[in-house]
Amino acid sequence: MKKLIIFLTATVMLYSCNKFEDTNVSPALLTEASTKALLTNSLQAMSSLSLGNTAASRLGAMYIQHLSEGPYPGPSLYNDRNLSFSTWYTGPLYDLETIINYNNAGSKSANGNGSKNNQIGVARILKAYYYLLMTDKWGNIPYFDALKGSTSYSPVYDGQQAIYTDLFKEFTEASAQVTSAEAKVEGDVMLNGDMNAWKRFANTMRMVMALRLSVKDAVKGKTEYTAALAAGVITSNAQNVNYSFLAGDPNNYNPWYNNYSVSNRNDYAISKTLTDYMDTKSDPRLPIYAEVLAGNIIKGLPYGRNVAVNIPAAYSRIGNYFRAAGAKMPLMNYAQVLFMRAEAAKIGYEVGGDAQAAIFYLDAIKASMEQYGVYTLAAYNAYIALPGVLYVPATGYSQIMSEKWVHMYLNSWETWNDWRRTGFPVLTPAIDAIDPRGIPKRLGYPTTEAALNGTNYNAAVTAQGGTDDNYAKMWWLP
Amino acid sequence: MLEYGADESWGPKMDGSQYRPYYSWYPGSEFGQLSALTPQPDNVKNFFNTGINLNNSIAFTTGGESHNLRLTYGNQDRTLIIPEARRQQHQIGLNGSFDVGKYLTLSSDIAYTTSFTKGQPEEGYRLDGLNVMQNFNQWFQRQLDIEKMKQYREPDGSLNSWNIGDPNASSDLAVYGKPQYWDNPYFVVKENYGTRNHNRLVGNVGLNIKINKHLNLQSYARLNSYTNENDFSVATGGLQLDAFSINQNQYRELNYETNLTYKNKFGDFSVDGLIGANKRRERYSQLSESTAGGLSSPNYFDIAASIARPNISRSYTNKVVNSIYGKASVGWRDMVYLEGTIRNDWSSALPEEENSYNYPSASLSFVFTELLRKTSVYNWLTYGKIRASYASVGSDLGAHSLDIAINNGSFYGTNPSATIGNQFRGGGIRPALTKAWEVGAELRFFKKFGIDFTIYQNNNTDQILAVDVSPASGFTTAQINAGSIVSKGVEITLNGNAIQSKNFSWDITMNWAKNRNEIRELAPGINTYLYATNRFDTRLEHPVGGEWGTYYGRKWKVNAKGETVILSNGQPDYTIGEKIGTVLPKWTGGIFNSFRYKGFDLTFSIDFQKGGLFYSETRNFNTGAGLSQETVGVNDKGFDWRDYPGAYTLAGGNTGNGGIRIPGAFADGTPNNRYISARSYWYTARQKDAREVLLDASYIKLRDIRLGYNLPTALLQKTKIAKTANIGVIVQNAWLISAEAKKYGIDPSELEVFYREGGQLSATRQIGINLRVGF
Repeated sequence: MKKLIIFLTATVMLYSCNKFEDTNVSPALLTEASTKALLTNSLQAMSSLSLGNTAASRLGAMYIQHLSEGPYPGPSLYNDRNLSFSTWYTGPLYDLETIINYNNAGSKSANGNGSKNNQIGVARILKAYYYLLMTDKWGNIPYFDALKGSTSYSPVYDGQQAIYTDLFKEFTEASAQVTSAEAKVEGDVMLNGDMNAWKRFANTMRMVMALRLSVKDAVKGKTEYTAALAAGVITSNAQNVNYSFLAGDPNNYNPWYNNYSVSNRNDYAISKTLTDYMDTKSDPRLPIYAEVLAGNIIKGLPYGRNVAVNIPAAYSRIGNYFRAAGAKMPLMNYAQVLFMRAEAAKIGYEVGGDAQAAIFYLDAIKASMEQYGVYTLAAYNAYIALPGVLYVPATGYSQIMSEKWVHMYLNSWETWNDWRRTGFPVLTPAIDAIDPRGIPKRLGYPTTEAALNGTNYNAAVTAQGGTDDNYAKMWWLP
Repeated sequence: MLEYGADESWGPKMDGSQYRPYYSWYPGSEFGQLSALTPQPDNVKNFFNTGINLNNSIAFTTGGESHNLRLTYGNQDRTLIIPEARRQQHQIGLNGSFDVGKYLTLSSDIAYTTSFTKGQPEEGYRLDGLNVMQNFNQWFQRQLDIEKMKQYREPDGSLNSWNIGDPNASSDLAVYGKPQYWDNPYFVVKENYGTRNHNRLVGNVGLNIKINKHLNLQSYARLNSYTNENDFSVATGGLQLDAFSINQNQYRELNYETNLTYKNKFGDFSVDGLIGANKRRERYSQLSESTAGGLSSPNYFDIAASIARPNISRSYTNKVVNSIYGKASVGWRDMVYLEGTIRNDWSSALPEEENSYNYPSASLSFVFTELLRKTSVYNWLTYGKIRASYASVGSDLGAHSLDIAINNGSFYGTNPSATIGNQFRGGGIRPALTKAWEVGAELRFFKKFGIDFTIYQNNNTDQILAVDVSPASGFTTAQINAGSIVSKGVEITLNGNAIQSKNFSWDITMNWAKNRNEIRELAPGINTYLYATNRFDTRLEHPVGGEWGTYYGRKWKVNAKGETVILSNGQPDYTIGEKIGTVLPKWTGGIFNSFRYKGFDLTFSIDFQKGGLFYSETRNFNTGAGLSQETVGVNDKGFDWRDYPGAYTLAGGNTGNGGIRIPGAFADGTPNNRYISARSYWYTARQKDAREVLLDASYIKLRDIRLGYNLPTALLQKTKIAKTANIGVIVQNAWLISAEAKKYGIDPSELEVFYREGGQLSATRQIGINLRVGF
């Protein structure tokens, strides 16, 4: 009998050798993600990529001298040459691409998460936004050939001009595609499904790009600028685009809070370059920007020295407005738009010349003070009457850009773009700069690209002057 | 005053002058006291303990004509060199068999192990301060006395640290006394640690039916299972947010195996055969939970203490592999053996249309000296065998890994968050196949000396790999069937009985091996296998058609004349992606000696490696932070390079005498005349050349040595209990005789992984006493 059982068992087993039914299906894994969850993740990525959650994302604040470093000077001495772009592509960009793909394929994962137009439109706007941040850092990057998985494991690098042309198109088309007449997007933790806000955001970004062309192609720049303005940009502080962090949720804390208060690292203080500028003017925004130390003083940390310095109690860290657990991060706001319009008037994108530039400039300062909650008529009047602040046509361009630099505190990457384009404010590079060529003009590519995408990488480096370092020129510079 | 907050050692000369140590800033009897500024050579000795490993085991056996039974018990109690780290383990084993009637034998074998581990140290380069090793060779100050740190709490219970803030900036102890980047290492090891409870049950039940003289039917059910519970506590009050995490997992593997075996002899021929089938079922599940946002009460180590929603993740795998197989072997006059096998597997982890794979093997051996027995050759060539084999092995991949993963992000409020996984999986994965060829020979001369050599080549086709691709594709890795990866090599072993007399003997064995790997083909569009990346743009690659295990990294830039190109600030310019060398050793080998004199026996083994590179995080920061001795010295002007180099002008050079000048030339070709500070050199400039941290892995090591003594049987007979007794002293990891990296304090024979070390717990020399008694 036993023999028989064993024989039968063996026989039954052999007959069913290659059939496993759902053994390889894990109950703990999904095969498709809901598009609303992908959108949320794409927005959450901002804190790590552009707003200061990683060392690389903080470089802009060092380059533009919003911040100085304490015990471990490195980035502020321009020690970081080659930076990874991996998480940009594999994180938000591919997730946004997937939202578009799911919607186009009619996947059920897109159901109930907003109309197809709105889901695709928002994904395109965000994709264009991330790509714009990237190309302004690295120059030529994989764009048309990117995000294609096995179709192209080593994508071609595209020239910045071609990327800019396509991004203009994307912002324009996507802005027209989103509509408040259809179901709003779900999972939108930044603009809460306000489709008109997405339109304004796209148009304002198009305006940013148009100004970027001021020295390279002012004709196209002016055309795009005028169209963007007509399409509707941010027109009040109530329409500002911010990314909000959550005070009660450690996974959604403000990145500066994480750094200072969770990791207990005191690596950064406000730069003396900035406090020197603001202190002499008794700028009411300074106590918002910087920690007020015992004795009611604000002390900026000297910039760019290769000396390890202890920060707590000795120098002012970032102010609570920016580094509380739930502090929001500004992406795009009304004062910024007004500064752009002031510049536009100054360079002839808008009519009115210096007289109109001065009006926009003063409105921008007012909007800035209002945004930071320090506006009083008396303080504002005192401030704008100060020599140096008082608009003078001969120094107007520098004044607009310097005041914008102050306003854009910790929104540093965009300020870096402005500085590279206009040369304002005039900044002195780190005294102990590791590279004597001074403040970086570009980020180097991740060094692994030489191994993983060698041919295209080499072509891109050659196209930009032959050396993959921090000093190759953006296409939009002369 | 010292920069207490700095965790580097570039401060004032340690010449015995008086300074205020960090502890003199804490209230108490030592407040305000001065101390001599001197280096502390005994910190390592004082911090680490001697780990003790006690190992006991006992076995009882009984048996009779139709049954036998064996019961074993063992326990281990082990402490590590890190204070507080300890493991206790118990094992119980029971096995036995009995015959039921004439044809049926039942057997079973069960072993149960339970262990508890506390304080397994954290290793590797970490930013959270939990690897205290980093305080010895990466980030520290050399005048600090570890003995002083033992009292890591002040009398009022608050924590102290050597890495305090700046007492000049604030007179408030709560401000300046707050550690900057490092807690007291004793606080770390005594209050921040993990525990692990591990239970393992391994066993089988089986039966053997003797059908006739030649045929046997065997059937077994085998079990391998374990459960684990790990936790980790981060205590309240330190630099890290207090936290608790727990991870529970369980694994169970069951194999059901049935074999029919055949054995017979036909004249000079002996025949063995087997056919069988096996079903393997693996199941694993894990639940991990960790607190978020801190603990609700100080040192309340529980998930319930989580301030915010705790992080929870689950993983699960389930896999079945079915197999049928057969084996046949034929022997002729104990001289020639020929064997062949065939096996087919079906795996649930593979795509259904590609889930079957078969793999045969064949081997032949020939003891040719059997034919020479009557010739004179046999006088000196007393044994000779040649062998050749071909074996193939098919394999699958892990369960549930055919689709692109969807990973959960962190909820934003009530909004779920998800991201597409970073490994591209396009389906169409096939089983992998390794085909291995081997030929070898074994020869003995004069019944005293022997040589054994082997040449092998393994051809791996369709190996299932996750290789790095350009992240611009949207993915960091691609799951592929790698076209062709080949490894080949030579192994030679010499052994001999050098001396043999009544009271003294000496046996020696030497081996030597050389191995080469080559990637011939990966997948379309992928022409390198990026294996690893390290700090400062250093990367390890296996390029297709190139040298396997090539390290690339930065190099100081050189001009046409071969001089280092120096920037106007005295720093070297550098290039990236330069080839540095290979991780693969040229060859490896070992020597084993055994001496016997009367009742004493002495054995020892030496092993060695020639060539190969490894990345050293220890040297990187040991020099960068000014901790190691090589960072102290005089410059080419004969002055202490740690002195201030002074202001610099191109025409006049430096005003001071200190600093280091890197030999080289400025861009215009004029010689570099600029001295930079010691830290700028050791920390900054040296990060620009990977040759500083990619070190030669060659070494010669006395691996272990054992001295034993057999108690005289005459003596033992008197005890009337024991029949044999041997007492031995063993030293393991005895002595790093020589290594290129030894002068940097690094042992290349004890790397964390084959291509790098990142500040792991030091390897230790182990000394053991061993008593074997036979009853």
